[in-house]
Amino acid sequence: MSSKSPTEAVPVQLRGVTKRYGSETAVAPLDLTVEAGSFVSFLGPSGSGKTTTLKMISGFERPDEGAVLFGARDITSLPPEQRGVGVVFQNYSLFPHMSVARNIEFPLRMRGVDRSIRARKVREALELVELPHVAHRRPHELSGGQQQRIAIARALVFDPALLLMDEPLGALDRRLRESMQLEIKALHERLDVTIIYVTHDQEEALAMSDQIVVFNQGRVEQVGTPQAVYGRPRTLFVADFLGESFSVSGQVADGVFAADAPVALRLDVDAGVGNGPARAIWRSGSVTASPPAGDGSWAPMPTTVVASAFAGDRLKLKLRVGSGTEGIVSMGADWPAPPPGDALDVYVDRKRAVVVGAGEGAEA
Amino acid sequence: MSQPRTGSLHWLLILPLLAVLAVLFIAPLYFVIERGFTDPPGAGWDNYQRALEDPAARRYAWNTIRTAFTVTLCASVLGYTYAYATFRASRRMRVFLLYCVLVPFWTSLLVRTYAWAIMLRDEGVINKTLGSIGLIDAPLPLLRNSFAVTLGMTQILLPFVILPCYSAMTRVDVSLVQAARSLGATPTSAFFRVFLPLTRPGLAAGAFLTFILATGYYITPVLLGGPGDQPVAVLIENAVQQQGDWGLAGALAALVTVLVLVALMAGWRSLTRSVLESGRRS
Repeated sequence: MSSKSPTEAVPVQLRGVTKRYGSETAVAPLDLTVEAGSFVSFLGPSGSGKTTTLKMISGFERPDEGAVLFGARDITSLPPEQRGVGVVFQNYSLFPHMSVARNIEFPLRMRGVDRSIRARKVREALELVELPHVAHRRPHELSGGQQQRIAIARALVFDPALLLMDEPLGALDRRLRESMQLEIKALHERLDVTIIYVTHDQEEALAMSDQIVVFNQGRVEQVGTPQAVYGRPRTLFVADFLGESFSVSGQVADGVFAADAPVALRLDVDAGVGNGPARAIWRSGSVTASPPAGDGSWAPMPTTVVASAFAGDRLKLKLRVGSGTEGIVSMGADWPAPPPGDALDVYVDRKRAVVVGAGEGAEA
Repeated sequence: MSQPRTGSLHWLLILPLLAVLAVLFIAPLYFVIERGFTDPPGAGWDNYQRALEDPAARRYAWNTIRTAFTVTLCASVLGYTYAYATFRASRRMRVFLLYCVLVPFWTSLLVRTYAWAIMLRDEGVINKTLGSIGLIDAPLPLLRNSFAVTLGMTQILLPFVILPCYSAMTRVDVSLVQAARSLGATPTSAFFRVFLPLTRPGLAAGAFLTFILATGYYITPVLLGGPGDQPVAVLIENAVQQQGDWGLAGALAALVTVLVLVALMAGWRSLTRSVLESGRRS
């Protein structure tokens, strides 16, 4: 469908979009541009505004303020059926009273597409999701993974320029979820379509996206590539939400981070971090029990083991530093796990430390 | 599945009810039908022949069926609409609307029928109001006709449509309607292509109950209807009270029972499906 797609992927723009439910602000004024043809994930905990934002793009919610644009077209007040956006829901939402073929045909019927073209398109869509033999079955006769593929076929059969997916893999078990992630990514590469993907699973967002938009309490905390939001989190929330991390509390004064006693560590920080309480954060790869010899950037850090768990190829350790903060790090599993309560000297990489403000409101 | 012992005990629990039904329903029904064959002695199928050949019986049977169909149609359309309005209303409004269904439901049938008679008669509140604002010169003929019967019975039987429809609606996954919208369906076509088909078992069950109940109605058509609206039940009552003809009454009762049983079998699937599917999804 990619080459003969009549609609080209369009950029999506949110301008000052706001949504309130009573006195609750679900989405604070939000500015965001999703580039044409990209795969963007909205990542955040439940109630962070990511699904509400998605609904304002699909047309099921109308923003109280601001505008939604597809390309240059303002579609803020357009009803969902006129937006031409494919939506894949978490619970598949296949019509139980129709066969699979009828389900996929539905958007084409709604558009008055000719019968012979409909039949061909349904066949192509089923082939696209590699389920050509289930056309005459009922949705409930299919497995969860198959149902979700049919839902994707149905959302793509009318060649939408934009595909929205609301936690589409949330109901599937872990292994199926991982293989579906790869399939959806492969589909995106084959088709000329912009995908906005809502998830609360940071691994899923990291694995699939070109860009990740991290939501928290109705606000966007950070927008960036998976590498950027994981490796260079701009806030404590992003650092915590995107995976295990190890951190040390301290104070920033005049561009220098000084760890709280008894940790003796000073780091130069970016101009972006103001004076005041702050945290220095390390991801798993930049914390080790045995630093490479001769590399001066590794600084020692005395910790106490709180808990340890064996995770196959690595060891997960929960560590507490003298000044009180706790963090989880993974290390190579080629040494015996230390028992809880043991002192353990680890080394942190100064070059890969990320310092973020830890003032009021920064705590996750 | 792996509890055959408790399974057999469950059967014991319905024994008292079965006993009550046997004594109070099945036995009397048997005696009534038996009367149809044995009164007068050695009657055999004579009573049935009389009943089937009697032009009055045919007319009254037609009255019964026609009324039942009209009432079922009116109650289905109004009931489904009401249920849908309730389903779409705010939570507080929903409680209020459901109370409006249930409160008359708990009021005596006779009282409600008389209330309609009082409202609809020539000096009733409707004709008085229309007359006093000058819309009509003479009272409208609202009572003692098919209109009154249909109105009264529809109102009385509405809950039997509203409640199963409403319950079917609450079981529909609303994201299906949203999915239809996102796929290009207008609100109207999303309703007719997705919502209505998914709630059809509830509507079928309600319509069906209404039809069965309507075929057995006696008080309302007698009090509100004209000569052309009298149901078979009147004929049965006549045979017993006026003529003491228990044989004919028995045969007529048996024929009505068969009619209802046939209708029951025709609609059985939709009825049981709507009850049994209550826990199933998609």
